[in-house]
Amino acid sequence: MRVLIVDDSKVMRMIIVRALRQAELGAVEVGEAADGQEGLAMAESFQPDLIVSDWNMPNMSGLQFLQALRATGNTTPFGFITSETHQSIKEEALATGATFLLTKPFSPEQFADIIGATAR
Amino acid sequence: MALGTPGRRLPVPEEVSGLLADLLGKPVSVTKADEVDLTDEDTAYVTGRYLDDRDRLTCACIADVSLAATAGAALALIPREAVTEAVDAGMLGESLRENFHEVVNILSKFLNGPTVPHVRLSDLVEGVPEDASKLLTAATRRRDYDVTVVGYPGGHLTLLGT
Repeated sequence: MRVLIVDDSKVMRMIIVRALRQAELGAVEVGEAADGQEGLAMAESFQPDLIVSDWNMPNMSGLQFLQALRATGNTTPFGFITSETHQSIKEEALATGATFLLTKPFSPEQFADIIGATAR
Repeated sequence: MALGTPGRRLPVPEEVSGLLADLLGKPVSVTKADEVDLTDEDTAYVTGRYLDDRDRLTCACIADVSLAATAGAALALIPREAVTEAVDAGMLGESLRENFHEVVNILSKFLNGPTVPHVRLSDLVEGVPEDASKLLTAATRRRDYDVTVVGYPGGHLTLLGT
């Protein structure tokens, strides 16, 4: 499985990579991008099976990134990992085409469950 | 705060310890602490500033450098010696700073809720800036915590919210 992680925090990308390894999803190839613009380019070149993105990022928010991605016709499963907990944000994310919204911090089990369900 | 507006709820120590333990992957102890003097020039602080959707400073997270370095180091499995170096220097290095920024970002989870204006982390600055000091008013809610993380020195945390 190829997973693209889009987050402006290097340490958060590291934590997500670690969680992916712990989730025992088989062979996982990881691509990383520090913002939405990089994410759009990586979605094209890396061809991920799953994209996980932060919500609050400089230049382009996670939601804008998802909107721009879908506007290109890209239908890759997409999830947000964010500290945002407002129900309205979750609804907005799902309405825009996100598959899930996972709140930070997450346990390895929560992460494995949601990523595993999305990957199946 | 306008009359009739519900105040922003700040987390109890058990909620903070639960979040930090999940985030850092280590046992964390958080207890209620006495209010510290945030203008004390003998202690180095780091302040996370949270803005509402109209870009007004609404909440702040103020940690002494020992706690900021502890959390930043524990998050990325950085040895405790880095915390000692940061405390001696009175400031965070780039790596610890970036890591603690993420911790403070995640703490915003406690500051948001269905009945209060949404806030987001704006930035993390050295010291206690003047605008954050202004939050120290009667209308501001405040909680102080002592935080220890297994294997690290720990330190003091203050949350302010209007």
